[in-house]
Amino acid sequence: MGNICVIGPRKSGKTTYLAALAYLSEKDNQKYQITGITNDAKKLGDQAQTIILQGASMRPTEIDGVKIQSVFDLPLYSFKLEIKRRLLQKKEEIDLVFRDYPGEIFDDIASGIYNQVHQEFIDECFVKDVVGCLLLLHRWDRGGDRLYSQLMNRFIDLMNDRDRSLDLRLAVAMSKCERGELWPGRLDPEIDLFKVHLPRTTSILRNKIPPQNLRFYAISTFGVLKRNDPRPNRLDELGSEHSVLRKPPDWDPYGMISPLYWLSKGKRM
Amino acid sequence: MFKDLFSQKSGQSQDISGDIRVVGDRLSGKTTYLAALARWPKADSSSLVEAVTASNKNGEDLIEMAQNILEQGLELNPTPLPDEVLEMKNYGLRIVLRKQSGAQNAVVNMDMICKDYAGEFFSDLLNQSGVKLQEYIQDCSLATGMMLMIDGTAHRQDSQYVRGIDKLMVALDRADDRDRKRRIAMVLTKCELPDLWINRHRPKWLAEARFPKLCEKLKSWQGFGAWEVDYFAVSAFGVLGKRFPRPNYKQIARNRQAVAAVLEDPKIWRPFGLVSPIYWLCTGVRNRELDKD
Repeated sequence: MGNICVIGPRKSGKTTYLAALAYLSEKDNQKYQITGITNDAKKLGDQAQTIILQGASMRPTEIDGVKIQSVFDLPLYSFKLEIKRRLLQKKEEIDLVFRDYPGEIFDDIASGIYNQVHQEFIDECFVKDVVGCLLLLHRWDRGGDRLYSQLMNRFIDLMNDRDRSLDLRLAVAMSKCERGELWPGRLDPEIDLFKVHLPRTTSILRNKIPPQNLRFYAISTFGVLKRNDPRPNRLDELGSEHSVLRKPPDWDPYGMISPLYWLSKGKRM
Repeated sequence: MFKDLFSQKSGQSQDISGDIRVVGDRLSGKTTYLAALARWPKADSSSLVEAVTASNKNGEDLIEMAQNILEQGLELNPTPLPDEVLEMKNYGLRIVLRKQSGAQNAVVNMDMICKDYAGEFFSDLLNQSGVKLQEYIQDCSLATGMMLMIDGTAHRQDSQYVRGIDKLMVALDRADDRDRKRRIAMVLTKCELPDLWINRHRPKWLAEARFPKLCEKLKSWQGFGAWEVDYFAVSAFGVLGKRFPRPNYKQIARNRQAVAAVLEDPKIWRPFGLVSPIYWLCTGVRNRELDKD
């Protein structure tokens, strides 16, 4: 049970992740079933079709002063996650409510710019009934590490200021892990992705957040083609920053559900 | 044998009554709550509440409001603040609770009289303005219980509410020198919203998470022994569907103070938890049955 904020810098794939979650509800899975509940979630599911399959540009979630003026204009996506257990065992049901944050807020946190509207967004993510944040990061170069470490330092300060340093779970996930350089590291993301590529960021998180409230994940919304054909199931269109599924029938996203389970329950799925 | 018959008969119905004031900020959903309660659309044989009926003309007006406005998917108008306390409408409702199997085998008739204070009262309180404030406080001190309605999404107003409620409690304490405990129910409204709905079964936790300062204040007043406080989550609109509950509302506007919405499907209107705070205010005992979906 829990309210979860999906946060991260621009272009880290937050909305795509949520859209994929909504789209997942149409797929059969042996382990779980996820269903979008609110109208917003259903709408997102419809959009997912055009976004993921046809590569219609996923517009950045921005504070534009028209549709999104303040944190209250952000849609609330509510999902029900049902974990299927073995025969005769009761299904486990989890209610999840997401807020998808505009990435620009996190760019500003890192650079230390104060902005009244942004402040409200940040405050909202530290209200006590938010159980945790899913932090998506997508860069894995040195510059990315530098930027993220600044970002995390500020973020942890803000968490402290609002008395959430001890009871807010933080699932830090490397997104877009279908990329060839990252895919092999997905099995132990903390060691093979974060410690290797983002050492400064990792050590800041490790040092400042209580270990029971911190987990590292690898997420791939697009997935790879096949078990023994780990090419990304993704096509990048020339001249466009948007990606589409290469083979929609083979769509098999990786690691999307386990961070959610941990965020709401505090234990592994 | 006659004695047995007699005692059985007297055990068949139990009467409870209460005089309640509904206080809260503008747009916190006070009138919607009362209208939904009076209309009681959840006529369901499994629910503990058998019926809600109006016991005076104003109560009937409430039902009409629910039928003519809410069920048409229209918004209720803000309640005006009358100049005279005596002009304020007194809604009379009778709530009949079904017989329960087990020890408490009696029909419970709850008669309540309730005044719906306009939201302006609350802002007057914050600013200590308004000529009639003192009269209102006098009137409020006569009640057995007070329902403090808070829009669950208005947590940004937390510190403001603390000031208002603190002033109200001090004023009430002065206005009434009788030595008795007063009950105050902190009611979080609009709990059909998904971020509130998932925590509706732990209202105290939810209230403390969203309104830490206000809850702290209420707790400290409770510590002095003059007040009893409990927490409730209610939804006048309710949700559609049991397995995948979706809020039964269409949002019109939302801002830092409140969220405005109308019913999406009036035909399937199932409010949540409306009677629980009233039962507690009247009896001092929480009926867990009334907190169920």
